[in-house]
Amino acid sequence: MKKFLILINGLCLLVLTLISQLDSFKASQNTGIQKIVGFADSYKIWIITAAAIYIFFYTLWPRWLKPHKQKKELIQELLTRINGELFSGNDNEHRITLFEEITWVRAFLRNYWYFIYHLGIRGKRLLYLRWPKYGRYLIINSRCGRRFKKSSTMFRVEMDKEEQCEGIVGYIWHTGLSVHIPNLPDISDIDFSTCRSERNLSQNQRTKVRKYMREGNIPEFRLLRKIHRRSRHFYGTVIDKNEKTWGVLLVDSTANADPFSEEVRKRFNSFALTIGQIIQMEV
Amino acid sequence: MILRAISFNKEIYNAPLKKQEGKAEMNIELYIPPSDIPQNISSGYIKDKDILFITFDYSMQEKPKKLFEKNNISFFIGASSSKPLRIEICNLSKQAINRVRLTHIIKHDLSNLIGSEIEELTNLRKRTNLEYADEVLKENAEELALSFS
Repeated sequence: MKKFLILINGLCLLVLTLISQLDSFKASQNTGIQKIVGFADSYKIWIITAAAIYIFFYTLWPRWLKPHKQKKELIQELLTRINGELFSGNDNEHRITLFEEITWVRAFLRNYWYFIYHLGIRGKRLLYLRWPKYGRYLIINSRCGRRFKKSSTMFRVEMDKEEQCEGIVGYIWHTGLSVHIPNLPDISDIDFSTCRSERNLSQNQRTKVRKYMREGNIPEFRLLRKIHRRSRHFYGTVIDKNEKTWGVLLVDSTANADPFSEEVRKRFNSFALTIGQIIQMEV
Repeated sequence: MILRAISFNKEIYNAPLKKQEGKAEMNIELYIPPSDIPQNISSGYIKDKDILFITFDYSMQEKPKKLFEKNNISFFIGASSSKPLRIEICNLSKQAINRVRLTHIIKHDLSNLIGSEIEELTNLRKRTNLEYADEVLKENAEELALSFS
């Protein structure tokens, strides 16, 4: 498809060049050429307009629609590289995510987009019925992990109000530091799609879930239900852009043992610096 | 002017924060973010202006903001993160300050000034950056003072 679009672009450029030289072809004795020249002469305004519009959109449209496409591709490569170098490419247990901050308006629109998306899924659609509380939110920019590369989950953040920051990613964003949180309770055995509130859990499960929510900085059961993968170990750091916090680079793991040794953290930090520099680049 | 790079202990920055600042109910370790860890620290003396300066270089640039200007000492920090960027100590020859006295200024006077600024800060990142700056300056005061001749 891409090659076809390039070909059309080339043809448009060729047509524009030929039409600009139309007068020199008029002298030709060849009847075939004269027919083509006559046709081009009668419709030249339409041909020029069509070719110019195509070239204009072909050149500018992708940059308007996805201005940071190349940057994003580069970051995605880097996340894969981090996983390969630090976690032996095990993207099932270890997931690396770059979160970026968005405004409330975008969060609002996003929420209702996912409401429509989840309409057919029982037990899920109601999670998106209530509109998001006013504030800024963190969403996934890029992710390296086997599942949930695109997720509907958003975490609310507020610079001056720690209690309004949701999740570990929100906590990292609030502190502006690098944060290591290991050994959260294992709640992977609980099926959250069937329980709408904590009351549906057994006593043992409830204790574990409450501990998970407390240590994982999750204020509402609804948010815990929205999270697709409830990891046990986290390490993340802030990414700055233009004198303010832009987002968070987070790695989470479902492994039994905490994988974030001092060496891993150091090397992860080095990658985080590179990602920060890419984010800061004006492309 | 000779710019003198000092060999400081980067491990300070890799250790978790001493005080456990995080939420009490969270089992947590906090570290300074990688963008706030200096890559180089250097000092130099500009004879014409009679200024000794200490600069902190980072992989990520940030707009400078003056934190204070007291007792001939100016301290510039990053506008957003408060990481130390540049320190200027003026009028050294004018006040007939020698290297021993300069070491004392860096170790104690500067430290007191930073300490009083830290007290006013509530933001954890900003406070941590100044605390680490204080520690690094104290540890390397003698070496930093060597630039003054």
